[in-house]
Amino acid sequence: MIQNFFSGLYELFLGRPMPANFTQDYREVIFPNTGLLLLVISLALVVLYYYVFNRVMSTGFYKPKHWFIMLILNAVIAFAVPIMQVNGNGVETHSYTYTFAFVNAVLSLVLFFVFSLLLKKGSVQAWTTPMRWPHSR
Amino acid sequence: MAKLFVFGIGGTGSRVIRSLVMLMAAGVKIKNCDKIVPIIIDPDTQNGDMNRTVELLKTYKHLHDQLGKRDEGFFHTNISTLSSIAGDGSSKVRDSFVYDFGGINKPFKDHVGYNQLDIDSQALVDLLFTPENLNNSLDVGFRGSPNVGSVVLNEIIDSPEMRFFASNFQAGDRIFFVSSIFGGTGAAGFPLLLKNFKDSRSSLPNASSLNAALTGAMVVLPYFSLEQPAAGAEVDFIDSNTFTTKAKDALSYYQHHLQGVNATYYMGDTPDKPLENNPGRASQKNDAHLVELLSALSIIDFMDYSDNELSGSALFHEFGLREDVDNVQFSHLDQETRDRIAKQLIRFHFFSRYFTHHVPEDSQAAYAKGVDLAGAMRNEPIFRELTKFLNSPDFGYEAWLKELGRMERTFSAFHLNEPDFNRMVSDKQVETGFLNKGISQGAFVKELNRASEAISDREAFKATIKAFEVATNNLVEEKLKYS
Repeated sequence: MIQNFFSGLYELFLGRPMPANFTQDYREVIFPNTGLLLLVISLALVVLYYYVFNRVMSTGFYKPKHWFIMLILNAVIAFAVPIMQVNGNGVETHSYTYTFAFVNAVLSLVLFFVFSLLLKKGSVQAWTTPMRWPHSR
Repeated sequence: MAKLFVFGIGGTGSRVIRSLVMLMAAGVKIKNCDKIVPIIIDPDTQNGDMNRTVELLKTYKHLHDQLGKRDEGFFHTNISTLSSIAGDGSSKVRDSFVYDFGGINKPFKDHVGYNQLDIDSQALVDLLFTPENLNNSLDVGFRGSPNVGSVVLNEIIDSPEMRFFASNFQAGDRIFFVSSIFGGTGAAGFPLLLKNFKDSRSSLPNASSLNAALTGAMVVLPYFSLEQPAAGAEVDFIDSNTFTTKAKDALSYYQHHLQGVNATYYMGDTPDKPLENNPGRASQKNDAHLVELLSALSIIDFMDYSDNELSGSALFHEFGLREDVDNVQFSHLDQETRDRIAKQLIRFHFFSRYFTHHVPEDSQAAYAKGVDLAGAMRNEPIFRELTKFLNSPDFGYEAWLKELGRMERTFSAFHLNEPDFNRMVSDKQVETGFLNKGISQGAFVKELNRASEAISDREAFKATIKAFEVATNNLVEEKLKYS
């Protein structure tokens, strides 16, 4: 099910994996792995930002610029993960790989934002970052 | 619940009330009452000292009213004008902190009808009053002449204001007088009002409650001197060389004739460099003085006593410092005094400094963004009132502190030019290191955010003040470790 979900998601944006002889590697290994890592890493960075930096440690990284840095860091990681997955699974690098990495990075921006909205209320120092909505406390 | 009526008589009365307001703003607790009613009595309607105290009282009242009833915290003590204590709008007296003399602007001579007196009475008047006393216009006060004051002020007891005061006086309310003993208005006004309030045959309403009311008085002995004009110069002035003589005469009178004061407080100091000699009007705006701040403590001390403690034999208090120093810090105050005011003033000072210099930079911090503090500070009038209270060059808190630092004996509990919170309190500094920044802006934001988490108020002003109360308390206790 996870395989189908992530394959469907990525192929929605990217089309059929290329080169054609590695299609099954993408569908069975690379897409699910990348998708799961995308979820876990984005969630981890959001938790790190809101609950470690801005609740447990109160580091002072509460400003939108700090949130934005985390967002970009997440996107960079999300860009690197597909390339590492492709290389790590003996799949030939193709322009498709970089488009895949790019799409994954864009998805990471969306996920980071959504996780932020869902989890920011529990932060003491940064519940209004990047914006106060939807909470009023 | 009981009220405390504070009569601030003359310029010194106004100045002591100014210091009292600063202490109340800092959250110093005044026990055994739930409302203070300051009544300033000064015929000099243009008096600079009085007018800035009135502005300060009005600003304080706005801030208190906005914050609502609370048991502790900045601006928590409720103050009220005399006319608003009835609470039903039935008052016929002017809504003001100042007794209305109705514009007496004629010479004392005309006020007493000197020219209509027979020759014998004129001779008696000439014996009691100097030609200057008789010819001086009353609208600048009594120029340090209690003999003039005692005649003019005797009339206020029949005024609508005094009748309104008496009719709203309830059993359990207390009275406190603040006056100087060496001037004109205060020296005359205090014994005169006291005599009338304690007169068992008084025609005032509620006379029995007034007679029995617990009463305190702060008698301010000479603590400043005034410049003498050049010899031969024809200028209007108050002769401060007579302060000590007048004080001794008045003390002697008090000793034998003053009945009905449950607690009397005395305060004075050796006069330092002479102040500019301005007998009245707007130019009489003297710098705040440590003695006035310490005198304001008498009101807090008086209210600390329970009814039973005050009902016994009369109490007499004098104030002393631990050391005779020129720059008085909290550590030079007795522990009891220090416990009453030090932490509160430090917290308020931190609040004032942070609010003025750093809050505008904190628009992205949760405590500010959560209530749209930046927008509220631009649009809500109450924030302008707060800024006035803290920073008005005329009557604000910072100006008051600066003035207290200009005298020869200064109140130097804070380093006023120090921007670093770690070094702001003179007698206690925070040790900092590579990993410990002490009370930094970051530490402040952290505490404010933490504090605001527990505050349910959505109103920016209330939420901000409450956040600062909690944050400054934590910083003073945990970082400054003040005790």
